[in-house]
Amino acid sequence: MLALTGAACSEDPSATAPFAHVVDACAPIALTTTATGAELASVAQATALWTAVGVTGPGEPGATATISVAFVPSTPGVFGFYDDADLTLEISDALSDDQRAIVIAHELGHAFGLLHVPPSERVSVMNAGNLAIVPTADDRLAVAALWGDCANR
Amino acid sequence: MRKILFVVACSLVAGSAFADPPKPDPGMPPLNPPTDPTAPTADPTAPVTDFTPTPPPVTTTTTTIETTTPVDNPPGAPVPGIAASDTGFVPYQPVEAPGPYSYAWHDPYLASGIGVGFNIGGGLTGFTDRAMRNTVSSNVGGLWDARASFGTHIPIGLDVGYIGSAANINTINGNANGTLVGTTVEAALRYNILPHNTINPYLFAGAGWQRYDVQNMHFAQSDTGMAPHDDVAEFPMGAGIGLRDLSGFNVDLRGTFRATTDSTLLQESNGNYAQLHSWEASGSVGYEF
Repeated sequence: MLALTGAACSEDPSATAPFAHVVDACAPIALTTTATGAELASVAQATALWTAVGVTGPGEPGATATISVAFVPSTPGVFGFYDDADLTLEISDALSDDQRAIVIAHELGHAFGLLHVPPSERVSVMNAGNLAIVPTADDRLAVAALWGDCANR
Repeated sequence: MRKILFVVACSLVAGSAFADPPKPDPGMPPLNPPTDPTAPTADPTAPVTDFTPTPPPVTTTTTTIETTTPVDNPPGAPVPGIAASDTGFVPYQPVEAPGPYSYAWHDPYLASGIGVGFNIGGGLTGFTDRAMRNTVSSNVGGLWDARASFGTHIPIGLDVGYIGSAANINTINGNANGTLVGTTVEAALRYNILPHNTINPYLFAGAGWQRYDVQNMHFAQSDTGMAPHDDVAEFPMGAGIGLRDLSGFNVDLRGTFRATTDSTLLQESNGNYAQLHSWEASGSVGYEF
């Protein structure tokens, strides 16, 4: 169980993460995409999944950061990728609607600075290869450990 | 063994007298021809001396030579008690070479007697599973191998080999590329169809261990069903052909199918795990003795 610190945002969360760039999970974030239909709906669904556990940055108006979402062909075992160089989520176009939303939520977690969590440690949207687990309360705590509790910012 | 005793008596005689003169050969002129009565006397006036030659002292030496005649041994066999190295004589031992279609379990022309070879080579490999074929950048990748073979010139032999492979992984939109590195150690029994022929086709089957490592992939920032590594048991089977000459140099060409146990290296979005069955076409060169 992670502790909810409620402290101020980490000054430099990326210093301990393998990512070149991360975004504040509690600051307003705009998700942009050229997709339509079910793929566009999946982006909104992923935003709602994080908001549901209290990570409110995605989708808030007045965005201070922009993350683009692209749906691209991929090999069978690769579902999504967070391109930390240009803040882009690349999502496999071969996924089902439900899988697609969860993979977007997973890659958003990487954009927040989260690393993979072994399933043996806890169930998480950040489990590697996850196609079924939505963000949990523990995932909210993991985000809060980096950026503080969004509800108390 | 039969012993023959020779006794040689030698008499050293001074002058023309023999202690026991031999009978003259009729075909040879006598040493002391009888005196011709008509022949003139050299010096009739010379006083006649009753000369009786005194035989010289006779020295008789008896030498005993004991020899052994190897009448019971075949020609070329060493003489007991006399080493070949002492005599400089290398006994000839006839060797019967197995015919090209023989299934003899010994080849006298090889130092090992059975054929022991070491080969290194390379070739092509690929996965038979669709998901794995789509995961690597090309349906065909490269491999390198090293193999020790025991019994290349007898009907049944053993191959022990190492096979390495590498294939690029194209993951998503050109990003997160990695390399799939395979390591295989296996042993296989080989059935040599023409074990004593210059060209030897063979079949083989065995078992081994195979490990795949995904290298240089950005696992930390992707959601992927690909594990960083996986270990499986594998069962190679196939056919090959060996080309060799009397110098020991050989060329080996083979095709292999490797069946593997279930793998967790790659999970597809439908929940299924890809299989790691693969094929190989390779060639190698080496030396056998």
